[in-house]
Amino acid sequence: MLLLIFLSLLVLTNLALIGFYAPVEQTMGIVQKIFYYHLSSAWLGMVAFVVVFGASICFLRTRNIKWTIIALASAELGTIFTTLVLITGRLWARSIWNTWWTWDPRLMTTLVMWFMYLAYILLHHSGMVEEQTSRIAAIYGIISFVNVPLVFFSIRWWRSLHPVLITTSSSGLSSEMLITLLVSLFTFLVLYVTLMRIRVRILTLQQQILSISHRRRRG
Amino acid sequence: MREYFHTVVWIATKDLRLLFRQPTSFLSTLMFCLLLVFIFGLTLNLVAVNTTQLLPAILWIILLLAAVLGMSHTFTHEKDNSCIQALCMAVTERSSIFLGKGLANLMFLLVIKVMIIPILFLFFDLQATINPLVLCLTLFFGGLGLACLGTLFNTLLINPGGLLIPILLFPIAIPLLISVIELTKVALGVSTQVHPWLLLMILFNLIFIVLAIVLYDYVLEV
Repeated sequence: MLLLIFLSLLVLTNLALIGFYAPVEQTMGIVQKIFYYHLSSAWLGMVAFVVVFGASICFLRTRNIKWTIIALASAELGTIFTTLVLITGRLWARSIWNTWWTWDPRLMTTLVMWFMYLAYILLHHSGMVEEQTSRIAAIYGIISFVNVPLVFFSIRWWRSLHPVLITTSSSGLSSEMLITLLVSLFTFLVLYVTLMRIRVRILTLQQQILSISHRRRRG
Repeated sequence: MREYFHTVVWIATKDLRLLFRQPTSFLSTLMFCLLLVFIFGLTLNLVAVNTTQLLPAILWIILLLAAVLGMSHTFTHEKDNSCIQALCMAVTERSSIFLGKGLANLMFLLVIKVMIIPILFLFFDLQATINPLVLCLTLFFGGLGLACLGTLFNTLLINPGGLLIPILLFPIAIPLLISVIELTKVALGVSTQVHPWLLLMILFNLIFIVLAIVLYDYVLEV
């Protein structure tokens, strides 16, 4: 409950910062403000992928079903955040690049990541034996993670239209924009943690109900 | 180590011998590729576009589909009479099964390529001068990557199989697909940029071969 109240306050603060504190970018105008949600969603998409990867390794080592539940919950949230990245990115691109879609490497790799998330979730609903599903999904989670560095480094590997905002020397943002961005990143992280807690709890309860019904059928 | 590679060659020989004795899988993949070449040729001819520009993409789409279809035989015959259990007991390291089957799949794909590519070039009336070295390198490493992924996913989805294999495999194969298409463009004289794509292609192969070997004990659990 406390976490939910904290999250609500953070979301409101974040919205106020985006709306009133962060300045309007000179060349892009008001459309640039979508970037705070875009980048935060992208960062959470990555975080969710790292969690899937970590939980997959833990499952293969321990064979404890709780790791599968964590990985699945994280993959589901990752799908939502990656969908948000793709939608907000398209809205921004339409206004700035004058196109809904371009075959830019980073866009492409984000879309590939989205496909992998969906494939991962689909695996869990393929009707296999639970233990087998967990093992296959864990291995796929690890294999898919190899694609994440490609998402990160594609902008350096290929020529890209995508703006490089975070470089090693400077962020390319004004201090007000940077503060708003950092608050957005933190808000999204808290949102992810809250949703993860809820989803993991639901999946664990589902798991318990399933095992009880299996036991009753056998008994 | 010597015994390990002996096992790899032994498994590859066994699979190739099986393919040779029951050529239905090979012939149907070849037929499938021929039909795809024909359909691509016909449909693109209808819209009258410059096909040389499209040729690298068409070639690799055909090979990707052929790889998914053709490699489905990898474990189908091992499921009968619980051969897979016997195979697992016969080897000391399970990764040797992956390498053996991967090697057989690579040979399978290379033969398909050697037969399909001249027909594809003929159908599309290729006028460009071909760089044979780049083309051979691309076909080999492209085939290696597809064989690696195909073997890995066919083992992983030994029971469910079906549509799940391409759903899982296609997103993973994207970096490989991009690099081989770019290199085929170089081979056909459409582009000149070799190094980043060659690096990406080799890196992709290395990463996935090592990853498959490391994970294979978990992948093949019977």
